Amino acid sequence: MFVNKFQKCFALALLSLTTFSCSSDDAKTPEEPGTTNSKYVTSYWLDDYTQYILDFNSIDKLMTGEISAKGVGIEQGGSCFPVQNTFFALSTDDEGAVSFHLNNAGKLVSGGKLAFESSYAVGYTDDKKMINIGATWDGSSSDYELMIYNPATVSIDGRKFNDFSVDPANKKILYWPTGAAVSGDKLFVPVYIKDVTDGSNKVLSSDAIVRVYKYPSLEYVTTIKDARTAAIGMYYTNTGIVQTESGDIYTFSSNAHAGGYPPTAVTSGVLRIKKGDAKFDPGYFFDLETSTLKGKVLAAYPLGGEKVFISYIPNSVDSKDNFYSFLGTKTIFKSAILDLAAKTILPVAGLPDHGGDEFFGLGSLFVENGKAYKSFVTGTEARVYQIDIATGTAKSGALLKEGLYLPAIGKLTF
Amino acid sequence: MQTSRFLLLITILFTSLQGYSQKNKVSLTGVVTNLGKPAEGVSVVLKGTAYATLTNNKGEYRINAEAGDYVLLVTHVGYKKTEAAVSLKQGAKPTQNIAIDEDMANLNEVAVTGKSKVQRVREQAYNITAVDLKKTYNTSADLNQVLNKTTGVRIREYGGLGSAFNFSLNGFSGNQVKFFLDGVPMDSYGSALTLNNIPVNMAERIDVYKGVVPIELGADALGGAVNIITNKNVNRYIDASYSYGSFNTHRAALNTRFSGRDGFIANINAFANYSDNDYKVDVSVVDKNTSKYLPEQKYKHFHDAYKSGTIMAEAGFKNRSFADYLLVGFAVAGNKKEIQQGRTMQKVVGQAFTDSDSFITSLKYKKDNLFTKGLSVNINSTYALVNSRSIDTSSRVYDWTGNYVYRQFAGANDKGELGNKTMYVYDEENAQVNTNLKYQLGEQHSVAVNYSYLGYKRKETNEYLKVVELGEPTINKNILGLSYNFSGLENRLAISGFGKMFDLSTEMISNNVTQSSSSTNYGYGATAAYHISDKFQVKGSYEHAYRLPAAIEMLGDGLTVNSNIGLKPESSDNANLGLAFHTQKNNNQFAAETSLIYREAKDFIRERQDGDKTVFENLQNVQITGIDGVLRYGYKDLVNFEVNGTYQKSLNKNKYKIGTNSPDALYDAQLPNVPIFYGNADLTFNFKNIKYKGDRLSLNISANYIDAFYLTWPILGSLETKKAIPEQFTENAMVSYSFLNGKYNLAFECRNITDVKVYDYFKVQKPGRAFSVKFRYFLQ
Repeated sequence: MFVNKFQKCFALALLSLTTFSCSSDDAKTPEEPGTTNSKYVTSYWLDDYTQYILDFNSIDKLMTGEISAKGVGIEQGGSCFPVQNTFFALSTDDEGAVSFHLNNAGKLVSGGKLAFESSYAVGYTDDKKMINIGATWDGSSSDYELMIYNPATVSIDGRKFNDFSVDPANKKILYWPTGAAVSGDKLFVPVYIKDVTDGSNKVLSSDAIVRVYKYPSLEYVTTIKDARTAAIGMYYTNTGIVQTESGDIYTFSSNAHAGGYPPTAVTSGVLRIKKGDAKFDPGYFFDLETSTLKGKVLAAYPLGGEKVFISYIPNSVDSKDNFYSFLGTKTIFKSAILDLAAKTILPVAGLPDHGGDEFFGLGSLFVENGKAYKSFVTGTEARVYQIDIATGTAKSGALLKEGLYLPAIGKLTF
Repeated sequence: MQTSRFLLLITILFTSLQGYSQKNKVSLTGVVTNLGKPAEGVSVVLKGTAYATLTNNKGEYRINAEAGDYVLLVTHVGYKKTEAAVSLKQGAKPTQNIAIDEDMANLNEVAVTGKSKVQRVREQAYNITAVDLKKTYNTSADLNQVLNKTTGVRIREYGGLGSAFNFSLNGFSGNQVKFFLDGVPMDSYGSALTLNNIPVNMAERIDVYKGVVPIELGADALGGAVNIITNKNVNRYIDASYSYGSFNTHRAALNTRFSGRDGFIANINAFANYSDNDYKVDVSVVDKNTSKYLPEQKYKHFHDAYKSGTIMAEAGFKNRSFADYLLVGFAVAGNKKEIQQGRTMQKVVGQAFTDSDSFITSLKYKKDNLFTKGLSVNINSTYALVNSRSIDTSSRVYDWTGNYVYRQFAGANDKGELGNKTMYVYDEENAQVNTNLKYQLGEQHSVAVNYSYLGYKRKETNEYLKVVELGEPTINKNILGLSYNFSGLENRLAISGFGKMFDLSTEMISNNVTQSSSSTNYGYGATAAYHISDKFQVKGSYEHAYRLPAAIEMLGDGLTVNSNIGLKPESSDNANLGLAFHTQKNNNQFAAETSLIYREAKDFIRERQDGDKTVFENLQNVQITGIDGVLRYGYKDLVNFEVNGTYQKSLNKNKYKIGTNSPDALYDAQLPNVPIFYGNADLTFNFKNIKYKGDRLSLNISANYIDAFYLTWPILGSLETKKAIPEQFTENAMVSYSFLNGKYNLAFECRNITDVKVYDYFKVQKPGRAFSVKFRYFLQ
């Protein structure tokens, strides 16, 4: 009783001292009009390494004005992936990985969370799930864990450890995953080779290599190699392997300093694993380095059908000075649209030379109505660009106000 | 073994000093009374000499002087001057008792007579808050807990007893605020001798300087200073206390002083702290098989114990011809802290720990009227060796039940429990000298010069690293200060102007390259205080100040703080305006104080989360504005009530992103992870002579409020989804009983009565409800 009275007295006294402190900090942003049964959701990565998940009623918001997290957005860490009408923030932080969806009122809400101890490679499956590969970065263990994440139930459907050493007798030369893709009953994991003997985690030159597993049992089947080009994909971006609508798997080998590799005599290009096969298609190699593009492909993003959008570095620009620069903001990259089946190249016009994807990639390009949307760092600023898939023409859109990246863009319905 | 050697050393030292002190002086003693009662704090001087002292609480005084004839002058504010002729003869033991009378001619002065030392400190021209510790001697609190109730002060702790903490004062925090023990910087004392280790009984009061810091402290404080003043007035006493409380917490303290008749003086302060810190926290743990988070449950801290111990001894002379005091001191201190968690409670740690040992020697010298009347010199110097270790070598991954598995995955930075495995050992060597010279020109003017030197060397080893990144860094700081002080208009006006020079030179080895840097900066400022009437005082101060980066900020600690050797000195323009009102009528006392602060800081050094660790960085430009206020009411000695509140805004004033020409979208935004509004209330009742004559029963209840604030930029994201440190209201209560005039004291205390969840940092829960009982013995 006394305490209550005391509390009141105290509160009253504080109130009298602090009338000046009243402010409008908690004023609510008014709801945007014209709500439909779908929303566009994007993660927004800021300079200070915080991330906000924003949602928009219209795709036009990506194309006009500024994108800002001022007063809006869900504060959430992790790499975000749109998957099966959810937006999954895969964080290995202690706070956990969180699945977001739109509730009946169209509000983006958390639908549950999971703890991921490690995540170095991810990819989508045919049955709308995700693959996560946990690994030991410093090479102190060669046992990596393959997991199937089910976004419908926010749970782990399967997990299995597998030895990623190149030779089981030498646990210091290891395969390192750069992505994952499932076609039918097979899981394909492209890898490069690294040497951790002296603790320096050195990337070695290698052929194009893919480890093949059964899906969904995650049992190891075989490792396939192709000497026509070099290692597939690059560290962390998950953009070196794409499954097209036909079910074929295409892999992208940079053989570039910019991708963190010591280049070899082979050329940068695209290989194919035909649907149902567990081997590279010996009759298919799309050589980009000697093509009209004269460039090395760093990352590929599916555009629907058999087309992909690629970021590449011109052969003349790729040098030791640009080692791993696809993880940075140096504006030395160009883009093009490829038809993989027809082996045609359409350079993208109207998009300035741009930076790389940092540690993002998979999920960063969104396609709707024949248009692709992705953010690019183009010097001191970053903007969303809309690319017409048919003509290859890019149009600049919204300016990213506080940050440099939209690591993931998706569309959710409710 | 080491302890017994140390005690032997002290004994020898005392004996030799005793022998040395047998000189030919005569000791004059006596008692000063007013209306038959002892008069405390009265100035007693041998006129025309430097021999002076104050009476103790029994009205007693003692002056040692050469044989001769003198005039004894007794003065006290509000009382008539009294003089008496005394003759000191060799071999005699003269006494002179004096009765003083109130100066009824000036009734206005009567209000002044009630002024305590604490009040007089508060009335200085600096923006200063004096915390009277005498009222808190029976609590089990440490200095942090007491200071946390002060206006403008917010102490953020990472847990229970001995946990790391961050002291913030009007928006400045960490090393921007400097700590002193009797004017000696505590920077170099090691982690065992910090505010959360020191018991309240060791000090008489704490002076908290907000903003402008006097040059006498010789420091490069940017946002203020905290000076702990130990008890100087009582000549001989023993203050021993022991408390036991929740979470198996033990605190013991012994403070004692011996004063000989010939000016010999010896102080010993010893204290020890121990706690299991096994308090419960609410966390959601992960099911290892499904990776799902289980519902939140209560778990006990199981690896959070803390122990520390300190012995400080000081011996020398007081009131001798060659020195007002000359003291040599030694201190040994050690602590060990187990670590329970990472950045948040989600990361559980079961093996990592830190520990440290400090050995400190000191020399203090003060002499007024040196060579000539009005010239005084004051020298403080310390030499400290501190050995600290940060140990994290375990591959275990613990959960909150205390069970563990061995690590399955090791990322780039998570091989140990908190980061890379480490056995980081660093030996620090600190030499520090602070010299003050002051010359009084008549009654109104004085000039002062301060020179302060700090030399720092660190030697690092880490068995887990092939190359120790920083090798053997050195940091040298030289600070020179000059001030002019004026006091006039019948002491109604006090003005001070000063200039400071800050010199920093560092040398470190990074990646096998030796880097050295040096910089010189100049600061200046002025303070003024004016009594508009006896009840109103107005104060203003301005300073252009510099703060040189501290060793931990540049070099890290090898475990939780990463190094940043490129850190620059930060600077700030500080302005304060204060208004104080005091009145008393019919045994009712009322006081109200308020101050406005404005700071414009450049290259502001801020601690930023860097993965599971933190790193200090220069944030270009920060503006802090704030207001704080306190109301005090007292009725006789029966009731005391105080309520205070602090509100401050810390805004980012970078127009462009650091190192670029692109506009900073967060210009004018409130900084993240900084408390904005908080307040305290404190109510005490004292009852005397309840059962026995001279007994005393005190009831105290206090409350603390803090508004929510955000871990990341508050302007970004929708507030309901942001990581927040929630709004909190906590209450504490204490009852204490003293008898035989304070000789025996017993106190029972409950902190966080309502057992609310308390956080100072995001997802770092602090102890809930805690009880403690304290027994204290005081003999004078």
